[in-house]
Amino acid sequence: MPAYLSERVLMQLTLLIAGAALLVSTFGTEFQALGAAQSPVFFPRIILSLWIGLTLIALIQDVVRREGVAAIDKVGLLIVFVLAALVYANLVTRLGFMLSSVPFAVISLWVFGVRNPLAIAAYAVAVPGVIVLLFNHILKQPLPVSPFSHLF
Amino acid sequence: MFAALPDAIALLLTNEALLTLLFGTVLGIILGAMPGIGSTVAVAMVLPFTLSMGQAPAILLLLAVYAGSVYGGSISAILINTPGTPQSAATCFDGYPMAQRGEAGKALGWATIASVIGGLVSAVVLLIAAPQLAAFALNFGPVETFALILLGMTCIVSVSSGSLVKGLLAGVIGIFLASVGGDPVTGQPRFTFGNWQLISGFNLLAVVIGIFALSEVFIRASRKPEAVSELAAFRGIVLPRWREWAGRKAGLAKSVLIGNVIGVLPGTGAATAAFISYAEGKRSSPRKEAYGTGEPDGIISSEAANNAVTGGALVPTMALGIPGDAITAVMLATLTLHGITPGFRLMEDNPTLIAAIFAGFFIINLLLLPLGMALGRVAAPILRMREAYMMTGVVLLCAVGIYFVRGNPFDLMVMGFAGVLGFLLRRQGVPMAPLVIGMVLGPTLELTLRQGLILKKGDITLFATEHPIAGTLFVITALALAFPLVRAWLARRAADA
Repeated sequence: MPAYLSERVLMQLTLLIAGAALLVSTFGTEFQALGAAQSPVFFPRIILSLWIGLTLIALIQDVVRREGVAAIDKVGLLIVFVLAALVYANLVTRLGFMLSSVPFAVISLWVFGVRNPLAIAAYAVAVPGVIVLLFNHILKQPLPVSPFSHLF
Repeated sequence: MFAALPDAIALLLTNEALLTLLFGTVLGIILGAMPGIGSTVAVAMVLPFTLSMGQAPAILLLLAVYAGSVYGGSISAILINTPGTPQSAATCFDGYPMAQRGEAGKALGWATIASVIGGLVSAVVLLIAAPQLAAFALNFGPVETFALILLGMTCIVSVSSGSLVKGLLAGVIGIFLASVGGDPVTGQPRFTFGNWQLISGFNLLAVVIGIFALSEVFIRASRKPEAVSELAAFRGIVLPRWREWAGRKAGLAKSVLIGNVIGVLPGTGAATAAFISYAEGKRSSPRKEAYGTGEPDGIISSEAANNAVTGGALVPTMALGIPGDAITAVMLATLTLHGITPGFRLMEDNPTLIAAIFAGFFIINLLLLPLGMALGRVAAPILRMREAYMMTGVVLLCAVGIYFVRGNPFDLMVMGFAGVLGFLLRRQGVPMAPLVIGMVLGPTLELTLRQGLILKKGDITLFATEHPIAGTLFVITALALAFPLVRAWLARRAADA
């Protein structure tokens, strides 16, 4: 990768493209009937124009300064963790809090460097279990349960 | 409002309110003591649980967690040389050296008393200043409100950490995120791209928790665990004797004043106040040579100022609806969710609630003393907890919290993606506070601008020429924008010379 294409520059480019695409999307026909301040896209257009302008300045600054960002210790593990968090957020309401939290906790503890299987298993079961017990059975504010049992 | 104090005190003496104050302060101290959690994450994590509470207990819980966490940060700063919150970073300079000398209990004693006094004075400032400021803003129309929000946001960006451009960009992204969904004037959906879930917009709490709490977990997962200093020997907090205060009271008063003044200014925050106060203490203290070697004056400078900020930051939040920092922005969002619009009308229409909040804030700061004494020893073992267990717990609690907001699976996904966005932006040096403040203030900014333009028949120059207050605020906004540029230019000139 060329030296000028740093992570910062790529991020600014992504923001620039996103801002431009959003601005273009405001020129759809459905908003044409209303003018000036009464138009629903009047304010967003100002904001998106600022977005693009500021991103351009930040992009130029980043290209000129060539500042790096903090190195990621283990990229692979981080990607696994972020994906696990997103999948977890998606599964909480489908599989229930307990069933989705246990595997997530196992992955999370592993990513953060815990290697003792007993500690991982104990934490992954006990902490979500205590949370379920507390909310479902003591506070009576039920968390999502699995399709298999109303208990967890 | 003072007439409502008896009713407010009666409200505070209910079991629910007392338990809330107690539980919130305990939770705040513990969360604040945990390195990596911090005040903003602590308040964001507690926030969803307030939705099932009444207005007063909900706000009191957040205030208790806020004030408690600012104090709690000093525990880890002194015992393991790692500030639990950024506000306590300056406390490490003298707190840890004292702890290494075997005076950890004494150092925490100085921190506790300084925090309590700073917090109590700031509660009084809040009680006096907020109604005055709100009364001044009583005649503000949409044009003045627009100018005020613009100024508030500019101040926040100008003085927040990092580059001005990136701060502004964060604010703009936040305002844009708030504009997704139904248009506030016509109701037409914007930027929904056919997704019906987006018609009501992004859930603010899901974004806030993702941006602050989840992104913090991602950042910690991306780097090697920090080396933590050895836990200092500690056998409980030892309060300083009266005679030990000789020659230190003026320094304490100065730090409290600095904290209150900085707290009222939008965007500066407790960390800035603590460092400015520490620097001033180091300049003017009779024991300035001892700063950095375990001098109690250093702890007093930092802790009195950072706790004094808490009440000060609430002044513009409660009086004008302009948050002083990211934490008060989160609180402002909670107020809105509870149907409370801060400002003079609130003080006129619901004085009991306001008096209860202000009096409750005073009680919270009083509680810091006994609870700090009691929890100091309990919190110490928590500092030994591995980051892995703490961060995994944070994610689980974030999921629980967001689920309780509306029970909507879409909000959980929003939280996840906001976490990724926060992680990516923070890596590029983009500050997160302006993003959240932009999201909180964006709808009002848009509404007031459009109302003003409709009133002035599209002529924006009339905003300044026909509205002297707004005109003055625009000038101050321009100066606030120019301030970092001038400061950088002066620094370059000084470096060249």
